[in-house]
Amino acid sequence: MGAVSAAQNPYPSVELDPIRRLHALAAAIPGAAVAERVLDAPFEAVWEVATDFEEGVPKIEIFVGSARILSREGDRLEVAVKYPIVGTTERLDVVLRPGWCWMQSGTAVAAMAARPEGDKTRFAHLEAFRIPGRRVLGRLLAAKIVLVRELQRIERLAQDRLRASQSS
Amino acid sequence: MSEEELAATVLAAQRGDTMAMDALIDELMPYVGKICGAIALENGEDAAQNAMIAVLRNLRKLREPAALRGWARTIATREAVRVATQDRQRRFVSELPDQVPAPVEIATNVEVRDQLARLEPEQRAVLVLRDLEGLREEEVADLLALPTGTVKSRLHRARAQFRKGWAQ
Repeated sequence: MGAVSAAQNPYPSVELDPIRRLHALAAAIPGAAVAERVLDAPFEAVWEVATDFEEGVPKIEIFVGSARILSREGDRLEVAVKYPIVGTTERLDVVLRPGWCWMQSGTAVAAMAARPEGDKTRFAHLEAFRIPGRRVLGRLLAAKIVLVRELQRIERLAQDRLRASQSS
Repeated sequence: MSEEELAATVLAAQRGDTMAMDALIDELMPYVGKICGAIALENGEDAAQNAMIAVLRNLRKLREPAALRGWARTIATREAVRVATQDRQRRFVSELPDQVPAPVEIATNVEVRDQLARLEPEQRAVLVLRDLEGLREEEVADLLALPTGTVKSRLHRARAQFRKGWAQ
């Protein structure tokens, strides 16, 4: 008896939702810090502000001065991000799909995952460093003050954008 | 993903490239998802998440990138059996549905799921690996670290129980 084809397969199958996927990757990345909470705004509004690289991200990430999309092909983006505190500009490789955003530069990793939860949004955010001492830096991130504040800013921006769209 | 691309992606992930780790999840989830879904059933997502964590954490131990899919299948099967066995131990048999579905000519996903739920996790694993994945009995025995005779008897019992379920 051979293997059944995917089209014939009546066996139950599962997928990893974005939140589970983010936690799976976080568990395998040394020093990765994750914050997760339910944001009081609908998924579409949350995802729109969180992945608005050029307008939204500099308002969310306190270390980001500006961001510019260099190229976009399918779900792959290249984004130039300017960090005023250290005076550097880094190129980010990005995978972007609805509910899933994975970003990596030479020195850092960041990711966002979201799924609707009623009229709210479950949102997880990961950050990690790719430089020596990343475990120590990761513990600082793990205090989560930075990450939680970012989630709060995303929630507020999404609510603002929703109100603006409803009043227009 | 071609074999060459897969090998390059595995090597990059082993060196800590998180974009490559993310791409490996895309590559492996169809395999991991169908194994965990069919063996762990309603706990399939937990099993799949655990399996992906184990794959990513242990990736550096994989010496031959071409062996990735088989290696991940082994991890997924063992994790699915473990999660399903834990779940079974938490349940009472009386919680299983009393009524079997009416006989039908073509099995739907729900009906197959009902039949699978009546099997022991170890029987489901043998059935899935043999009939869904198309492995030989010797390969199933090797993967589950069981004697071939045990695999044969479990497979016989699983198929008999499946047939009995359809006949009722």
